[in-house]
Amino acid sequence: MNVTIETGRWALRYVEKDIVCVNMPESSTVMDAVAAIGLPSDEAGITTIGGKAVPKDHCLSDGDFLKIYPVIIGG
Amino acid sequence: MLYQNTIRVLYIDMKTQKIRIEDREDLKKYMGGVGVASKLLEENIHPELPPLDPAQPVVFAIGALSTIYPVLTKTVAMFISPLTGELGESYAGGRMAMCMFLAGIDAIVIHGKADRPTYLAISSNDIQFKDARTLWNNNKDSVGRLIRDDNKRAHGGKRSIIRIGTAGENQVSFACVTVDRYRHFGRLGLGAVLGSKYLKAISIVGDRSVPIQNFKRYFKAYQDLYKKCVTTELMAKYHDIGTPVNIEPLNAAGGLPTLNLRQNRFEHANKVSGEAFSYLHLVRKVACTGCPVGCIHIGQFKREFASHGHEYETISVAYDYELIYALGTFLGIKKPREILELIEEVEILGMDAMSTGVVLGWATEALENGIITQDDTIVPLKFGSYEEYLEAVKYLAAGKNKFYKSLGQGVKYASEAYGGQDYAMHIAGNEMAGYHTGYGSLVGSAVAARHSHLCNGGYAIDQGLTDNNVDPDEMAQALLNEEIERCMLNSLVMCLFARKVYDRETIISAFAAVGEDITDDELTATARRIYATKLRVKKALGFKLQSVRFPKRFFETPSMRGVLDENMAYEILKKYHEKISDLETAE
Amino acid sequence: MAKVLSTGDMSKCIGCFTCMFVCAGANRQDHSIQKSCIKIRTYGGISGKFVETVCHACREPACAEVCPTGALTLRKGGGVILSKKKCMGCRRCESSCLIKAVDFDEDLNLPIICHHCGLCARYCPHECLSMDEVPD
Repeated sequence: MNVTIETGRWALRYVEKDIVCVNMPESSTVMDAVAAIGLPSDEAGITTIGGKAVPKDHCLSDGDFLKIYPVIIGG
Repeated sequence: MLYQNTIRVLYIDMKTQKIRIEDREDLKKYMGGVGVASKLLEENIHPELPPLDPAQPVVFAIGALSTIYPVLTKTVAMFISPLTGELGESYAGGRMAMCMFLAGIDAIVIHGKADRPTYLAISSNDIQFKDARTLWNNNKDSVGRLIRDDNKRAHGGKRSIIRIGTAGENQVSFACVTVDRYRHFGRLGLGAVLGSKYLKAISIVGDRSVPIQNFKRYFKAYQDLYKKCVTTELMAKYHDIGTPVNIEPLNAAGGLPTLNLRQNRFEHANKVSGEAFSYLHLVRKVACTGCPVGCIHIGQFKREFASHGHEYETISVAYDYELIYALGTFLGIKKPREILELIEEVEILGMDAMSTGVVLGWATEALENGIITQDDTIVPLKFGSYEEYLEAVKYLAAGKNKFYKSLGQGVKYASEAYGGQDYAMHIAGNEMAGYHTGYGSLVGSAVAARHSHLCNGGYAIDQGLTDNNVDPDEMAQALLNEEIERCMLNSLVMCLFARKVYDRETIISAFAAVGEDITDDELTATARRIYATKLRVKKALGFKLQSVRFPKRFFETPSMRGVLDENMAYEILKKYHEKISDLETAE
Repeated sequence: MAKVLSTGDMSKCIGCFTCMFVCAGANRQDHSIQKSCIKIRTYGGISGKFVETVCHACREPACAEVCPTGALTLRKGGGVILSKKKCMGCRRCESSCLIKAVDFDEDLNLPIICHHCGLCARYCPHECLSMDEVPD
């Protein structure tokens, strides 16, 4: 299945492009997608599909638009 | 003091202009920073007197290893907060820690009120009380310049200048102190305390040399720490976009306080994101002395002079996540340019940006609801409309009328006077920080010694949860563990952005490299000793955790972890209270 | 080929002063940045620019020319080498340097002379400083 994954410019120190289309095996999860684009797992903050927050073990479907936000930082 | 078994405390009496220096061995067990400052605060407060009484002390302290290792860059200030009436504690970066270190001072205790506006010029071999009458009622930018020029010949080292603005002079309860132009003792009203002492500014020159005792050992430890700092994620995250990177994830997760927390998301979040600020306004980044990261983001904008066409000035202002939240999303301002202009005005007047945004958010809603009128606010405050806010911050700093005087004492005070307490967004008297992330941030700020999100980083606990179910006992314990550990970290007065670099093992070797053998158990004991001291101060000042009441809105607007349950919040509070009941005796 | 310190990209400087801490530490065994050979200053307050003052590695160094005891000798690639034994602390080198790159250590009664060791460049976190190859 094909999944579109968007990060943002903040992720460019890990990934080449901030939006990519990835072909993934069926029943892949959000976490698999994070790994697939080469983002360290602890750098992935909230993740959304179609604007709705999804947990990291959520199973992806063909055509999903997954957005990965950075973790919240601060003191 | 480094390489000594004593802590050097400088006592300054503003009234008599007398100085006393004490080298205290007994303070060494508090390590430095917040430990030493808490103890000195406990020794010097007068609980029976109001926070702004001349007899009350202000304490500044640097850490046990300040300046000699990377990112140990901050100075802690402790005082009685005029905002909450209890423990006041605030941190600032800049050059101050290095200058105190190189002036040979670990801590400064100031009390008394000068006969006239005064500034202090401190160096390693002199302290002068200088006439500051002409600086009173002057904006801060020129204050720094005038003090630099006044002392041109007098220094051979590096100088740090801290000063208050007109809000501090007028004793606005959340007036801040600006350190070296871009950093602040922001929260809880240190500016008002200095104002109440007629203390406009302090200039500190570090002009002493400090020979390294065991170079090989020290430099090895330094190199290891430096490498750790510049190769970890710390560098990239805080230097690149910086803390404003938080806008988008908090918005997506529903934890971004917007329109006086009527909303947990801002429909224009992408317009005020960290990337938007970088793209439109970021011109440079600077660092506190001794920090290789450089997280201070400077934005620039140009402003047309009102009277003529085609005439402009360029203005540089430091921005961070909290400022964009408080003076942006919280007030519904959607243009970075307008947010920067608000930040600049608040900065010049010398107020805490977070408190300023939150009190104005409440005032806007109170005006909408008709519990106050435009006679009170003078300008028609309206979410999203920045010109009125730009005027309002001036009225706030000046205490323009009865309403603004009241607002200047914080949102808790103003809402008690005018109503609208359900949407006066403070936690235990301190205006909320930019995290509506769950019980961690909400209850965390309530139980926090100074009601700051930085006491226990509750938002990070919320972020780390796997689902929205919370065990009250576990949450209370997690908050307490972090609160206690940070007492130890803050005795080194490090930048908490770098707290992961300084794990226990690293701290122990950093001490060992300068000849101080300290064990893991001793660090634990020190942390508890410091926390106990803070609890005693709070008790003496009449604070009761059981009396904390959360404004209703926290339980109406969903957080990042869903709608919060009021009973659960009080349950966590209760659990926490039980856990600390026997802690204050730790010696 | 010899190497000399180059300060080509100071616009990236964040003012962390790491270069000064490392120089003072390694070259003078002191925690105070006053002992550093390289000086970073702000021009017009902290809101101004960061500027550096450090030895330019002159091929015809004025400091060596005015030294009455021959304590400063030419370094390969430019700049000078200080012989502590020969120096009497007259401070002529200090006043001869147009760019004020020679400071004076009152504690030791010796000038603070940069010998282009490159430590400051190695520890600059933002690549403002570098060591450039030059003919001997």
